[in-house]
Amino acid sequence: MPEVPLNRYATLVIRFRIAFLAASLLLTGFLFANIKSLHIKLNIDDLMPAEHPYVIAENKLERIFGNKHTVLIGVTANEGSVLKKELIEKIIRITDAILESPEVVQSNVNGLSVRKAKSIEPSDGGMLVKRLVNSELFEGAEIEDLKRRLLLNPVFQDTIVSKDLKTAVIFAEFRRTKKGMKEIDKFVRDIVEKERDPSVDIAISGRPVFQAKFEKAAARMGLFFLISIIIVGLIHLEAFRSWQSLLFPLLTAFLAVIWALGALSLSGNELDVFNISTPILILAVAAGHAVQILKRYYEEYNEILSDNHHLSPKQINLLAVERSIVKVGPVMLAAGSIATLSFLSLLVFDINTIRVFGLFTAFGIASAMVLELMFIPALRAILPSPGPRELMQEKKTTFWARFANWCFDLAYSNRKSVFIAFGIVGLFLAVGAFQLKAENDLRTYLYGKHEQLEDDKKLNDRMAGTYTFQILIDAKQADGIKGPGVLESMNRLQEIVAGHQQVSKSVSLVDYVKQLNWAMNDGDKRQFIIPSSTELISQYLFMYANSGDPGDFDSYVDNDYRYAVIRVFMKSGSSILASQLAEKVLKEGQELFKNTADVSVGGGVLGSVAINEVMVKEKVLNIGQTLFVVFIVASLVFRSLIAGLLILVPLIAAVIANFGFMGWLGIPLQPTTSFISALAVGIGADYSVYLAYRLREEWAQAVDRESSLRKAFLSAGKAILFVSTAMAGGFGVLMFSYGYSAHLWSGALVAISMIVSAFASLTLFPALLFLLRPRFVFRNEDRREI
Amino acid sequence: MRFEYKLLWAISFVMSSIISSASFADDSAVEIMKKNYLVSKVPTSKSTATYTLINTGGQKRVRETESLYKLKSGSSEAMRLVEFEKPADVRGTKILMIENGEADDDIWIFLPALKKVRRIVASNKKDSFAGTDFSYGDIIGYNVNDWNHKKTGTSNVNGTECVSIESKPKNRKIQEMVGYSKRISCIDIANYVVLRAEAYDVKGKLLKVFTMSDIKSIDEKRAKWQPMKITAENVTTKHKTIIEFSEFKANVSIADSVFTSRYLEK
Repeated sequence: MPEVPLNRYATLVIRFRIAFLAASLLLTGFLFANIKSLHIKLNIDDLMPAEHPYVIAENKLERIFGNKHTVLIGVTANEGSVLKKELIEKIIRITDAILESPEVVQSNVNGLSVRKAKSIEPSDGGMLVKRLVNSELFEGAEIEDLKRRLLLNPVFQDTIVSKDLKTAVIFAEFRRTKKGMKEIDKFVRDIVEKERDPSVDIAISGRPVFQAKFEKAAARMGLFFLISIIIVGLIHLEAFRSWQSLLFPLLTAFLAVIWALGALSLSGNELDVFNISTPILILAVAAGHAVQILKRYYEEYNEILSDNHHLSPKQINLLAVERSIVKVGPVMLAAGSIATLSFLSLLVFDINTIRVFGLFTAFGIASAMVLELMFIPALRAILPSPGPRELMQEKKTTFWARFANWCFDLAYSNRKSVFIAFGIVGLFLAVGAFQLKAENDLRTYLYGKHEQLEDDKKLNDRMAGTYTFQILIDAKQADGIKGPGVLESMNRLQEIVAGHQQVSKSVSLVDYVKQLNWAMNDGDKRQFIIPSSTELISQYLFMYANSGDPGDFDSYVDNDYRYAVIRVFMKSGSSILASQLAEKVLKEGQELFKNTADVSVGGGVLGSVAINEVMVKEKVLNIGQTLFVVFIVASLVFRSLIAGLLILVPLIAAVIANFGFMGWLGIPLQPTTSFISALAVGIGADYSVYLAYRLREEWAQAVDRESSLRKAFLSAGKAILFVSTAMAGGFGVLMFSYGYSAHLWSGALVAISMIVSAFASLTLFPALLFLLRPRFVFRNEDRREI
Repeated sequence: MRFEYKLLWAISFVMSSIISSASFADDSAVEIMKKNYLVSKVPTSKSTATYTLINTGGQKRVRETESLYKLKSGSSEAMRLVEFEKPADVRGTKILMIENGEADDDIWIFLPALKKVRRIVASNKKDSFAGTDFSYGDIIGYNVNDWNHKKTGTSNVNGTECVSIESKPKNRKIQEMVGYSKRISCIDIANYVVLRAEAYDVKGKLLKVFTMSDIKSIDEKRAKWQPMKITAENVTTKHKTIIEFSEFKANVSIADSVFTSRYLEK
């Protein structure tokens, strides 16, 4: 490892400590001032991979037909049918109030009392097109007629009214607002609240409702950040038993987070929902580096004190600050650089959220390094020396020291047991990892009792399903959709989709065309088919238009009749099932339409599929890439390929443990969870780098080899325990974010990864070192004596 | 005369003046609306028009029509036959509309692909005319006597001063049939042509805005005028329809038999 010339730098920091301190504070102030312009993207849709075919189709669908942020409001009669005067009046009031919102897309509001909801039935040799409920003139006398017309028009059944007529649903599409979905959620809830009484059960669901819930969950992160600070601080307090040791790492960590946030803002990037917990990561990593240097400071202070009784406490303090920088500085720079570079390597990825994650974390770790070399030594040099009680505490044999000792004994004397134990547990976890499923259902982000989950279940049970996706048909020319061949193919595709276990309904223009033909043939059931000529279809639609309103079919066909959409309602939000179905639709669609039309799929659950496919794939690649960068940088730092490979061992152990636990516990691989392994790999390298460096240092000046190596464990090893415990504790606090699976998983998995990574760094990694005795640690000729 | 009597006389005079001027205003509003109702009514006409339907996204659909128009003998009630020439898939589709005074109007449609004439339930004048933003009522016109009219002031449309008249349906049945709770028409007092009109839905919310332009004299002798461009915009859906007459000939010879359901099938 190249020696970094830190002696002169350390002297400089101590001499000009006030200037260093002032410069650090000025920089902090400047970066802090920039945080306020940092924008946080709360909309998951912004994170969609724009090049994914499902996302391309979704954006096209949104442009032509709207329907992206659709809220469903289900009104269920507690007794009998929902088709009662009082309940229909409630539906009218809710619908009218929703239509008042400036954010609502008026043409994409649907429901019993919406103008475009019209029944079609035979009448006097022609057809009668009539609004289901004329909200302006509704008096209640027409309810029996409404029931009759609803039964005659299957297109409305289980979409806007349940088959048993107990539930009616209002669909409302909203434009996204800058304030996020919680604004829309609140708007809808305020309207609905006024209509709740014992006669009805009103349920609200849809993507915006869940996104609003996640936005609220993201807001919790500030509180958990504070709790993390306290937990990390308490662990350090327990470890060192001094207020300074509590405050120093926390101060470093806190400032590192401010610097990283400020730098992220200056770089023109934005935070997003998947990076909202990254400050906790930076906090824990920065505190970890601070602990390493603080630990060394106490060791050096004690050593100077025992060798130089004539020096004053102030002189010892300054000397200890200098020596700790000189001795830990190089390894901190090495470990920090490995982590920074590995996170920076994420900038090559396509998905912005991954790039932001890489950049943000890299900024954080680099900030922590700079602070540890600039601010903390300057402050340490200004503050009074530690008292005797504080120094005694450092020497005490505590739980941490006993555990570090035990790890050394295992690695040094029981290598075989270590290999066997890791082999068995690794195999068990690897089997679990093979059971891992890439599944991304928004509803699984929540657990326990949530109004949103309960409402969603109610609507899912009562209606065709709250999970949807859309099939886009492009007939490639104006009026192409009116062709009987295209409509027949759409009809066949709907039949194929209906055969899927999770699909309960699909709706398209075909349903209306069949209804028109049925009506124009005096209600002959056999005529519930698509007419055989384009002209007849066009003229039926024209005839409908003479009683309907322009835009009545806008949700199903575009203005030019070039594009049509089939809306598919599903009972399940499983991205695996949706993905299988989408593939089937594309395959069958291609065969059915041949050259007459192009078929694509997107929207609803397929957005989650696209996010998962791309993000999980990229995250897994990201793990591989990070491992590669760690290998390269570690090999260069230690000038040894063996070093590069061995440093990877604890990281791979952490990845296997992470995926293994996920597999066994049934935790799905989705954007949040796929982050964790990448994170564990990025920061876990610190442990083995610190340990290897200290082992080499002790080995080089050892008299008694075993006690020298043990000393390295009691120093760097103990620090690793503090750091990993603080990391596990800092992130583990997220497990207490009740109700949010994503938080629970993050908290638990990061804690597991950190513990495994640290434990492997203290047992498996040194056991391999002691077995292989590589030159990068054991330089002199006596290395064979272990 | 004692002061109190003088005061009483003055109050009575002012009150009676207000009442009489109000009734004069109402009468005058009705007169204006009656003149407006008749302003485009020539004995016969033949016209070619383009209907441009524009959706929220600005996409257009264009329909071309040929229309025949004739007033019933000795009446101001009209008969209209509209035949669609374009687009090709609705070519030959015909709509026949016959005003029946106080009774429901007759509306028939002929679909060439079906080769049959179908009657459209015409009690609803609020229904869309041929999928446009105009209702049948907007096309056929509204019986002046079905509405209460009131002058609300004057306005200016594209530099032309006009009188604003608020018209409200006289009863709920009429309101239900026309689909409007109120219309505000701005009428050019020089020729009684509506320059701009607003229609409010049954709940009193603005629903449509109509604008008329390129107003031409079609029968100088009878002082008849016709806007050659009429736009209707639904302010809720932002959907818009523009009717533009490319050709308009008044007082041409048209047989009454043209305006029968049997003729539609020819």
